[in-house]
Amino acid sequence: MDETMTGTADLRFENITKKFGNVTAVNDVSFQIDHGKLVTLLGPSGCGKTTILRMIAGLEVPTSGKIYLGGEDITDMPPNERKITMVFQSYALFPHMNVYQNISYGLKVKKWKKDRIQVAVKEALDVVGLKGLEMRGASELSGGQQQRVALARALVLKPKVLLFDEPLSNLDAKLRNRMRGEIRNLQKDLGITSVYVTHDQSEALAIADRIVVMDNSIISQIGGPVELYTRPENNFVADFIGEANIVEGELLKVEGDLALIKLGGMQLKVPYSSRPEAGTPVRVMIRPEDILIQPEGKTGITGKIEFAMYQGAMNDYTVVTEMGELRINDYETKGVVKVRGTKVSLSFREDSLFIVH
Amino acid sequence: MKRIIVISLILLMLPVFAVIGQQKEVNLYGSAEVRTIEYLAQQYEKETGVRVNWIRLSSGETLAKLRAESANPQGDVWWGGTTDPHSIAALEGLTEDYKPSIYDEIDPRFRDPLGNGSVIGVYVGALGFSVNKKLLDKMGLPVPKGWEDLLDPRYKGLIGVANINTSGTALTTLATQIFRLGEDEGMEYMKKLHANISNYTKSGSAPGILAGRGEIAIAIIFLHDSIYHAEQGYPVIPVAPVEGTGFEIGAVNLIAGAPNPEEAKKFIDWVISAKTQEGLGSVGSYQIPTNINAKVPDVAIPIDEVNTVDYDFNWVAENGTRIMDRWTREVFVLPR
Amino acid sequence: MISSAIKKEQFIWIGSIVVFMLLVVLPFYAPLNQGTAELLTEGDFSGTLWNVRYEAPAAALLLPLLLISAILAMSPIRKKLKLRLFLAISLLGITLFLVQVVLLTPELKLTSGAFILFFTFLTLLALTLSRMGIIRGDSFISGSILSISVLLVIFILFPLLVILVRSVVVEGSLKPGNFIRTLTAYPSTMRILKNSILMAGTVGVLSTIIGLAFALVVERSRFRLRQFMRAFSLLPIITPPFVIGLAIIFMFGRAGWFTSGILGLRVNFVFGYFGIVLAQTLSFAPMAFLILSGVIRSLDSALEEASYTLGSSRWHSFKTIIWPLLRPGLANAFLLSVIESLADFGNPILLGGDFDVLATSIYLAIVGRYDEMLAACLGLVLLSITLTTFIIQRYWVGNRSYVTVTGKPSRNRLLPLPKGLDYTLVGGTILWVVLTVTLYGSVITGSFVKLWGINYEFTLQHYKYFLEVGLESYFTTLKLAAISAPITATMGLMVAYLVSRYTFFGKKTFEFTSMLSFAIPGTIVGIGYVMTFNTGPLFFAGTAMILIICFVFRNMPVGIRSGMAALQQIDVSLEEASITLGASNFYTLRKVVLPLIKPAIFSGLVFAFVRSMTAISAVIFLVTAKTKLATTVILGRIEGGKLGIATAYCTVLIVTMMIAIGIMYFFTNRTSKQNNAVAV
Repeated sequence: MDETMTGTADLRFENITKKFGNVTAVNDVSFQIDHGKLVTLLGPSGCGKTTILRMIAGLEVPTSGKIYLGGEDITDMPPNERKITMVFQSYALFPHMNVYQNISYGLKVKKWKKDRIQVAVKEALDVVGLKGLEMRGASELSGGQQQRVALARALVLKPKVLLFDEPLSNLDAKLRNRMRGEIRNLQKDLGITSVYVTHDQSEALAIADRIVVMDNSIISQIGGPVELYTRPENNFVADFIGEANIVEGELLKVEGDLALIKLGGMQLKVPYSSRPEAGTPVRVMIRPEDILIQPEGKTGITGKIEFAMYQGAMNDYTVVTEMGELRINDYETKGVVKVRGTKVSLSFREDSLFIVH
Repeated sequence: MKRIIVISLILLMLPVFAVIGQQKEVNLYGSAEVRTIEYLAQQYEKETGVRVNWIRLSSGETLAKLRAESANPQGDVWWGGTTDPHSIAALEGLTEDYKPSIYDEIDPRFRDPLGNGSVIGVYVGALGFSVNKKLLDKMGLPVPKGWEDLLDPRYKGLIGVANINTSGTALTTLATQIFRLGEDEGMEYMKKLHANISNYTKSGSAPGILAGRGEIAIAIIFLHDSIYHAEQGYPVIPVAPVEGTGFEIGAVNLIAGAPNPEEAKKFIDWVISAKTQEGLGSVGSYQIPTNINAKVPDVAIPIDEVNTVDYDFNWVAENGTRIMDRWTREVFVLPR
Repeated sequence: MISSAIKKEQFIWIGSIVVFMLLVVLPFYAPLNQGTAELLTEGDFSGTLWNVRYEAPAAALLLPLLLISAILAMSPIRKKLKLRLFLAISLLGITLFLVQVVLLTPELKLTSGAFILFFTFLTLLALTLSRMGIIRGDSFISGSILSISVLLVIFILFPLLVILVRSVVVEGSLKPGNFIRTLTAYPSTMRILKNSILMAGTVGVLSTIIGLAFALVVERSRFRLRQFMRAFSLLPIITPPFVIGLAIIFMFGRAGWFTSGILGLRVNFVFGYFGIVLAQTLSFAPMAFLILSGVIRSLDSALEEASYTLGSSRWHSFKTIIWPLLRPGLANAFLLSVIESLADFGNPILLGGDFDVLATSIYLAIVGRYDEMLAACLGLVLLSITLTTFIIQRYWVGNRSYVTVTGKPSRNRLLPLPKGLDYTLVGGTILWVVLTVTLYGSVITGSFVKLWGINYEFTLQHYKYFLEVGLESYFTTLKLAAISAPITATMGLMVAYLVSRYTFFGKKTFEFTSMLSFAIPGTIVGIGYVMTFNTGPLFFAGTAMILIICFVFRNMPVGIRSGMAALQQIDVSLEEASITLGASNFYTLRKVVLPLIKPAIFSGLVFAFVRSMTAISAVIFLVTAKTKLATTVILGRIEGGKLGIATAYCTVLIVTMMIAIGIMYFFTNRTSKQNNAVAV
């Protein structure tokens, strides 16, 4: 067996399907993860994202399809030969071992010499910022520390791919935010190909090079965080990532990359992902922060405030209009909250609209 | 590591490599009291240096074992137990006929109970009562003299005997009544006796202990057991029924296909010898020796002093199961 | 990864060659009375495959097959094709082997060569299946599944089949009617059937009630000494058969110390129904207690608290909340007690009197009537009753309280019982403890007095006599129990691990079969083994091996159950973590799983050891002149009226088992410095 797992590699999924009995958990999924990138699998629970992760680890075997790691077919390869490590949601620290024993576990399996293990473990502890905690029992650590030990344990083997299964879901909000950053920096510094499963869209946006959005056993959309946020291809992605208002408009004509649509009396040029047919109704996504709210009488559509909530950084309004209810995040007029029932004019920020299907 | 598991699983399957010692040995199946078998084994080892592997099994267990092992017999000699299982074994070819070198020393009345040379008689035991006199005295009851006395209703719940389905002793009891009175009358007697029985035990000698401990007052067992129990300190006395009683001939047999046939034959010759038979008294085995040169133990009741019925071993061998079932249907199920 | 693949192929290559060479010298089969060692020392190679190639052509074909697989392992062909070829070779090899075994005459037994050959092909199959991904997990897992399956078939299913065949095959031809005919011809069939059901029903109810009372007291009473009660309630588990029976005779017989000595009564209730029921209830209530205490412990007190806060009285809460939750556990305890009662041999044989039951009648059919066919038929009747009960237990109520048989210690403090109930239960259980202690005391006392009931003078003569005559069987028993206990515990845990962590074809059957021996009365196992393994091709009779095998497969279910319960408490991701860190399944099992389920290992070991030390019904036909066991010797002594030495021997056994349990406790907990109870 190789002594280390040196060198990360790209990972490719080819038409992977996984069935548990009659239930299809993953349906004909194909994607590629480039060398050194961090990809998040994002989706609601039960969408198949964890199953994909487990198939990468080798803990599940695909019903059909192929998985390639660095060009090699690993579909049927046992998990312990894959050189892919994983950080579990529950951390899965061995409760009967201390920190040192936990981290050195994989190296011991590889029959490394004791002094080499010591060096490697120390290095890994440095990396995750847990110097000096070697002899602590796994149960004597805080949640964040446990998380770091789990990370160190996975990193110390220098895996070809590092997997994260909702690693931050057991932490409180503040710590979660910090860990996000740390994981992201580490991954970047070490350049390890990583797959990160989460159901938290903000986590996905914060951490990923690319995001695979899963919905009901299929891939809904793959793209970079910005692309997914600004150019969601469908209703599901638009709604799942961030807040979104979806309104119905009428397509007048298509002009190159833009489509001319009629939306509540306004005519707007809006980009699209798949070419819509002229004369049909289209659905347009507008992010709440992209709607300007002004006193009645200005240009745009009119409406009446239904809910008004002060949120600190912004004011959150729900406005009833002829297009239906619109959610608006107003970052401009800080502190002054318009009261319920106020009539307002709404206008949309240039380039902020997108046609979804 | 995986290999270690695989190998250990293989090892699990491997039969233990039988280590065959160079020492001479003989395997003895004994169907009498443990102390008797133990004595024979130790004594033989002491005298000849041949190792005796022994196990004590009831005669039925031994027969079952011989059947089970018939493809590859493990035992050499079967010593003790009543004639019937020995004769069945002989009939099924599980034992071999062997005529000991000192055959002539054996009392002709007992040496060949079936008349075909298939079983060698090695001791005789007469059936009788073991009576807890202390208990009867306390209750103001007389000591029974014979079979008919046992029917006295005052003994209700005080008499014990083994179940005929499970014990050779009990079968001898039933057969005795049949030889004494005829089959139908014998069954009638057993029905009347049934009313007085406390309970039927599995083992033939068990009622003796019950009588000794005062659980019951009268046990129908072999007299030599009663003598032994008395010697152990139980307040019992042996009583030979006046009307005549049945008896067992304890047998010895060479097991067919024995692994050590020559040693087995030597052992059989040895157990028949007068010295060995006399020696059994020293461990409380008071069966009557069949070797005419052997001295009967002082405490034992010589068979000639006991009034015996004309006991037909061949008839019992042929009709055993039938009378067993008849007793079970006609007697055992009756209320009492 | 490429290197590891090569390593595996080297393993096949080297393995095949080694086995091939071994088969040159090791005999494939031998006459029944000769073993491999003997043949080798004599230089007798007549049984090797090469020499019997004409007598055993199918097996001889396996030799070239071995060479082919060795060559194949090193040949540079596509992996897919290679695996397919290996699959074909291993399946062909196993088939040829089985065909050969069927064709062999019963005068020959398979020996070392045959076993090695068979397991070589089984290993090859395991390697191939795991490489092909048909069995998930590595070759250790697939190898274990295949090996254990083979062993289960040979040592559990096959003997049962032989009994079935024996009851319907008369003189070589199949006569299904024979079963009914034999049973109707036997005059006692209906009576013993009725007796058995009556006995088992009563014992089931009483054991459950007493087990429940103890469970409630130990888990939820205010009584200070409740942990003390637990120890005493478990005492009967480490008891040799006959001890309770003897004690009951000593204390309650017509000449008993209590009935006659204290009360001056002459009552005859010990022999028969009452005696058996009392003895069995004493014996089996501890099991009911274990089941029910687990259930009670796992009841969520929040439910009860909720009920109080909703305004119901304590008694009402008990009735409406605890009771319904207890019912599956009660059914479980009842059914398992029923099975134990039906299968029990020691108590009815000693106390039965005229009250015959199936378990003893089977034995007596053989030893009293010399009728093996009747025994087989009665055996089937008993087996069908216990099996039905077992199936009901497993599939109707089993799942609902299964987990809790050996639950971990509770986290939360449980609410005490309603006062009135508490006092009643404490009173009742104290009485029962007093009864138990008195009975044990009488046995121990009995071993130190000249003649119980007659002469109470103190003596050590029984122990002296035991040292003279009992040591051989004592050490044989100790040795066999000590060998079989770790094997039993290992196999049990292995089955538990495979069943709770892997999915594979036939898993349900695998699990059921491995648990089946719980429902097979020992008497039946004994006859089954005798009938099956006293001729070729699988000949083990007369060896210590058959006793060990018998112990292992009979005592495995408890190891399996405690193992499964323990494994359910361990997060699977721990094992997955280990595997993704590069560890093999075996390494994971050793370094992660085993340290975390030590209590289960301990209870599995203890149980296997104790059951092996005290087995009677299964071994009574299996012991030989060279392998006498303690229990059979004790039974012989009891029949011979030597109660003094019998009780002395029993006392020695009880003390031995207590010491052994202490040692096992020490060893299984030696290395656990750390706190295992971390919730992960």
